[in-house]
Parts: sequence; C-alpha cells; structure tokens
Amino acid sequence: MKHMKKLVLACVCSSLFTMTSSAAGKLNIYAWAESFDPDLIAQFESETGIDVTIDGFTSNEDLLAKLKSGSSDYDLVTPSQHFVKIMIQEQLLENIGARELPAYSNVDAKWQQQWWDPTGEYSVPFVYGTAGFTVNRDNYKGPATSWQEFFEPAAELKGKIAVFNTPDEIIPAAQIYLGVENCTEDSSEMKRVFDLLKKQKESVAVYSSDNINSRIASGEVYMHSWWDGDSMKARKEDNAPIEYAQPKEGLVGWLDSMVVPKGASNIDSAKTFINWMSEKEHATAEFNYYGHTPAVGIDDAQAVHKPESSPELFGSVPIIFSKACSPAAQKLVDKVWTQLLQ
Amino acid sequence: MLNFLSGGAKRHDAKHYPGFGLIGVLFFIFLYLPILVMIAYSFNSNKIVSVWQGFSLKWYFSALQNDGLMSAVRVSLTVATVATVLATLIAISAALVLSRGKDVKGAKLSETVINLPLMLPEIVFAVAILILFSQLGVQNGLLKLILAHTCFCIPFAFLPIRARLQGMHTNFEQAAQDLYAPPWVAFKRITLPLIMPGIFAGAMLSFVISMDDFITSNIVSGGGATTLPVYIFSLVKQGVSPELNAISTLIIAISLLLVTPCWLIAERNRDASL
Amino acid sequence: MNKNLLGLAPAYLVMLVLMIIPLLIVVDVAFMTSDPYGGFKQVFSLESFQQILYNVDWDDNLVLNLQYLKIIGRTLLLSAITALICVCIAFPVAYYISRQSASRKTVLLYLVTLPFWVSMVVRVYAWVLILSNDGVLESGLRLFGLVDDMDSLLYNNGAMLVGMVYSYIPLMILPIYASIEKLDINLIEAANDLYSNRLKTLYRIILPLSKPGIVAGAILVFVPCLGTVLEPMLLGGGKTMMMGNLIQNQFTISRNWSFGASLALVLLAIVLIFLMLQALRAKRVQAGEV
Repeated sequence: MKHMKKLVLACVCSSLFTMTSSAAGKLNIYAWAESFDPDLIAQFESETGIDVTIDGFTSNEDLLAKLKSGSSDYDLVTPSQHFVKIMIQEQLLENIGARELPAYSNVDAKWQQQWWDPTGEYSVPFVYGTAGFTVNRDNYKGPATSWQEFFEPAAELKGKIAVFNTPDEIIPAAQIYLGVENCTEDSSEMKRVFDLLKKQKESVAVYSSDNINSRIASGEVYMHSWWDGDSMKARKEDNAPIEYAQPKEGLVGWLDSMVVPKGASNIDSAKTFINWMSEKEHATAEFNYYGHTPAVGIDDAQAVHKPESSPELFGSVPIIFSKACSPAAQKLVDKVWTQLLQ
Repeated sequence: MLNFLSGGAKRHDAKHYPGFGLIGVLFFIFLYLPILVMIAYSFNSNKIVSVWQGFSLKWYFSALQNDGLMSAVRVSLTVATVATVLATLIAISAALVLSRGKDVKGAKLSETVINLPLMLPEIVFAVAILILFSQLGVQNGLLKLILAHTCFCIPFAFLPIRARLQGMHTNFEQAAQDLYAPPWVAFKRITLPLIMPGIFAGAMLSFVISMDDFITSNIVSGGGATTLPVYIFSLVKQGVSPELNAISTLIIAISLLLVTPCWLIAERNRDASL
Repeated sequence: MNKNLLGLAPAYLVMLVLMIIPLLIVVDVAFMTSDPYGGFKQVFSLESFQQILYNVDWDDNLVLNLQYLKIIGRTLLLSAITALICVCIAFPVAYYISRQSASRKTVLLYLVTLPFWVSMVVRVYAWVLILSNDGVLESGLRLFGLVDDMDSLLYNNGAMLVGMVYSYIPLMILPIYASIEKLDINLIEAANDLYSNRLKTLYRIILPLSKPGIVAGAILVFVPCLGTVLEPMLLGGGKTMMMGNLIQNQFTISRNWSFGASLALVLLAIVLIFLMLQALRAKRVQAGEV
C-alpha cells in the first residue's frame, strides 16, 4: 500500500518536473520536413544549451491550419512569402523587430522588407527556391521544357505522374501555364484552371507531398511535382536518374522565412536560433545540407553546390513568386482543389 | 497439431466441426505473421527493407540515438502517467459512489456519462476538443494532451474497478463498520486492498490506451508535444524503413511487458473467485 | 448524499468540460461560416450542410454532388463488410477456442487479445510493410517466381479492408466466444441424438444461441470502423477517403472547420442510430426472455 502511494507520488512529481524544467532553454520548431541539418542543430544545441525539437510539415496549408487552431505551441516556423503575409494579416505572428536583429544585416538586400513584410518586423528570410517538376530519365525520354508536359501529359505518362497534395504551388503553376493572373477573384478564369487540372487528373497516379524522393527515384512514377534543391540533392547524393524541368513559361518561386508564432513561449531562444542560423558559416553548412539557396550571405568557397554543377538552382527560366490571396481568391483556390480531389 | 485438421479420433464428436480448427490456425497466422515479419526485418542489416542481407542490431542503436524518437517517448510516458493517475483517481471515486453510496440518484445516467468516450467515434472527440482548446487559447501542448487523454481514459479505468466492486461481498466492509472503524480506516484497510486488482487493471488499461492513442494526439499535438504514435506515423508517411521496424519491435516488446502481468493477475483473480 | 455528489463531481466535471461542452461547440461551429484561412467566423450559415449534398458550380448554380454521399456510403459499406468478414472468421475461431481444454483456452484467448494492445499505428504499419511496392509480399512472391512485376497492393479498398479486419477482429472474437461458452452443450448432444446432422445443428442451435455475441461483436467492430482514420490514410493512400480522414482533413490542410463540424455531426448521428437500434434490440430480447 505504502509502496503504491510512493510510486504514484513519484510518477506525478517526475512528470510535473519534466513539464516545468523544460521551459528554460527550449525551442520548438515547425519547419519544412527535413529542412534543417541535424548535425548543425546538434552543434547549435551544444553551443547554446538550448534544447531543440523539430517537427516537419510538407505544405504551407498544413502550417497555417496548425497556427490557426490557435494553440500550436511552436516557437519558430518557416512559411513561404505569401503565407507570411497572410499570417501577419491574421495576427498569427509575433513582432520580433526582425530588421534590428543581427541576422537581418546578413540578409541579401533584395529580400529585405519585401511586400510580404514591408516593415521588416516579423520575418527573417531564410532560403528561396522554385517549385516545378522532376522527370525520371530512365523512364521518360521526352522533353521537359514546358508546363505542357506536366499539365497535358503524353499518353505514355498515364498513371505515372504524381502531384503535390495541396494547391499552394500547383495552382500558381497552372496559372502561369494558362496565363491566368495569380490570386484572381474571377471565377471563370479559375474554371479554366480547374478544367486543366481535371484533365490532368486522368494521368495522375497519386497526389502526395510525402516521400517524393523514393517515388520518383525508383521509377514508380515518371514525373513528380518537386522543389529545385530537393531534386538536386537526390540527383547528386543518391545518383537518381532524374532531371528538374525548366519550363519556359516560368517556375513558381518561393522564399521561406523564419518567423515566430504569436504567444510563443521561447521567443528569446527563437531569436538566438535565427541569428545563429543566419551567420555565414552556419548558413553555408545549411546550404550544403538542404540544397536550397540561402537568402543570406554565405561563404562561397565552402559551398558545395556551385552554379556549374547545379543547374536546378541556377536555371535561366523566369521565376514568378506567388502572392497572398484575398479570402475570396483563396476560396476559389480551395474550391478548385476540393472539387478536383473529390 | 494435425488432429484438429483431420478430425481424427474426434470424428464422432457432434460438437466438433471439421475445418474450424484449420480456420483457427490460419487466423492465428494472419494475426501474428505481419508482426513477426516486421520483427524479423528489424534485424535485417540491409537498408532496403525487403531484401534480407544479414543479421544486425544496428537499426536498434540508431533508433535509440534518435533524438526525435526519444523526445516522443518522453512525451508519451509523461502524458500516459499523469492521465492514468488522474483518470484512475476519478474512476475510483465515481465507482465507489455508484456501487457503495446510499440512495444514489440517477446512477444509470452517471454511468452513461462516464462511459461517453466509449460511445463517441474518436475522431469526433478529437475535433471537438481541438475546437475547445483553440477557443480557450490553451497553449501548452502537454497540458492539452493530458486533459484529452484523462477524459477518454476514465471509462477504461472505471469499468474494471466497478466490476471488481460489484463482484465483491460487502461482508468485510460491514464487519469493519460493526466494529466502529471510522469510514476512512475501513476504506483504507478493507475496501482499497480488496479492489486493488481492479484498480491495477484499470490503471494498466488507461496507460496502454493513452500510450497507443493516435487520432486525438495527432490533431491536438503541437510543439514539443509529439507523442510516440504521432511520431511513428510521420515516419510511416515517409515510407517503410529498417529503423521504423526496430522502433515498432521495441514498442511491441514494451506492450507485451506491460500487458502480460496485468493479464496474469486478472487470470489469478478469476481462478481465486471460482 | 453530499458525499455521493462529491465523489461523482470530478467525473462529471471532466466529462462536462472536455466532452459535452466541446460537442455543443461542434454543433455551433457546424452552423457558422468557415474562415478561408482556417478557423470560423460567428456568422450563421447553413453552407456547411449544403456542401454535403451540393456543389456550387463555376456559374454559381447549385449542383447535386454525390461525392460526399459516396464517401459516407463507402464508409458504411466498408465498415459493414469488415464486420461481416470478422463474423465469418471469428465464429469458427471462437467456437474452436471454446472446445479446447481450460488451460489452452486461456492461452488462446491471451493470444487473441495481445495484438490489440500493440499500438494501432504499428499494426497498420506492419501491413504497409507487407503490401507496399517491393514490399515483403511482392518480394516473397517474386522469390518463388510467382509474379514478375505487380501493381501496388496498397492504396485501394482491399488494402483498407485487410487493415480494418486486422485491427478490429479481437473485438469480434471475445463476445462471440463468451456467448458460445454460455451455450448449454447438452443441446448439441440432444440435437445429435435426434439425428440432426452437424450442419443443421450449427444453423438451428449454435448460431441462433450465439446471436447475442455476434450482434455485440458486430457493433463493437462496425462502430469504430466508421470513424477510422489510420487505415484510409496509410493503406488507402488518401485517394480513397473514408469519413474519419475526410473530417480530419477539414481541420488540417483543407481548413474548412464548419464543414468538418457538420460531417462530424453526421458521423455522430449514424453511430447513435446504430447504438440505439442495438439498445432497443437488447431491450426486446430481454423482455422476451423474462
């Protein structure tokens, strides 16, 4: 009997202890899946004594939904530019006085105080890149120079195409291809987008943003929505027989920033992390791991991804950044997507 | 082994149905083969899961060094422990009133209320509690998990305790009362030891239910509060991997260690009561 | 009396705050307007219920849309098939177990319940491992030269069914076993003495008498299947949806809380109808017996 009491007491105490003791020097990050280099995080932890946990998401929508549920308890997240703007509008972000942080001085001038955060108070740009599609060259020998090959695929690609499972980067691509304005509120224009995607669906094997690497590298599908850096990494590190397409109409551009959700419990740790990550040395190491172009200055001599070996990152086609859609436009985007996936 | 396949000597036994034995054997194969395959492949040294290369424990080492996994284990253990303690205490108190209280009104209603989480599809509960937390602005991920888990663990703790109380004679308690033992002493010396097996079974059930929960945890989880099943789910989405097999095998082993003693105690009690 | 209240108070408090009030909020949200960015606005609207049946097409006309009804239908159908398969497997198994010696019975029952305590995610994962492309099953078949190249066995209704049967079958075996155990074995012998053959005895005596167990088991399997989330996500690949993951999506990537809430109410209503039918039946049976 006494034993039981002690045991229960010990359990309660120990769990309360773990709950409170963890508040000091902790940092909960919600970032794009596999975006941060684990070795670099370990180095950060040992240098600063801050205990970092990282969860991954695979779409901006996922992140927005999590923050909108009002109680995510994350200290640092990495949305793309248009979602930064929406999150600022929706008052989901903490004003961290970003442009006063040491990190900001290392941010490339062209990314400072852009339209998504004109006052430079909320976000510190982190990496940028493009969303396009990758083809498996063992299985598909055709051209990869236009969105036409992706949206209006040849017969040989039937059942061999995989597409992201959220509209965020697919609808802008379709709009680029059709010449429809991004974030249009015109329902007849969006109908054209819908029709295109509906037609494409006949050839689509799966809508998924998970596990892309194994699906395209193994040849399970021949064509897959993907991002430039990830595609490059798979080609270089796993020798996957793949090629990142360069559609002449233009690629969908994105820039991920580090921001702090409103009400985060470890704002100081988050700031420390942002500054640390934006230092030249660490940004270079992160670039070598992640493969997406840093928005901050790096040590070019130490970078492994050089322009001549990385056509994915240094293409010549136009890059068109997505805007933040108004609620009305967002509703149309969601409508296209729900009706498409029905 | 073969005699229930053929019927053999039992051929003239009217209660014997040939074929049922075969179905039984096939069923147990169906039940255990997937788990055994997974356990076997967790020792495969090959990175490609389905091609056997040789015996190796390396995936266990890499699993145990995995920070994300370890923090998920810590979260799950914390949540399960606190939720179990809370749910069990609440269940004991409710079960005592419902089976020992004098003229309890609406006992039937109370039991229904306590068992509500068993009737509701879990996804509905998960969604409801997500909206509640978001409206109240509850931030702490651990707190949210503990509250939710406590709620759906209560019936699992309640049912075995209640069953134990119902199956128990009140003789001893009455004797204690007749001897003028104060109620608290009577409870501590007589009732509590007698219902201990029920409490143990209830607590064990709650603990396992909390450790296993996916649907609710997945929806309410936030920063630093990823539970083990949610973490495993995120790995499964990334595809099959040898490390995942190792992690799963460890979880199966731990479940066995937790459930077996509980089951043995229940068996012993049943034998004793006969 | 006061003591009674005090003892029940914590349980009532938890259920009220964490169960009943949240459910009322769900009802409320179902009648509100979704915020396109997530969450909801306090503006009354029936749009979310309309969405279950109708699409607003590109010219703003209401068009009957059977997709969601199809998902609801698929959920009901797959759950029913799962329950049916479970009965077909569980009955012989339960009967077989009941014919064993006492010590063997105990061990076999332990083996039946054991997998149930292993994390659901792990159990479903085991099937992903077996069924996936280049998975264990495909490699095994290829090893014996039975197949050359096969389509993925994952991501279809069949894979979901296997996963659901696997997950819930212990819930079917236990009640059936309990009712077979209770059955008076002399009846079978009497039937035999009266020259009834085995099949007849099975249909006329054993099955009817174990019906309560079968019905209880069917409910125990069918109801959780209706709200299942993991099997459609991992084995159905997100393309073949069921109500559980459809609801979950509304609170994650689709960000349509009101629609999700109204779907949750539909699911709840379906479950309650089945539970009520079961309760009525139980009452009738009881009345009939007395």
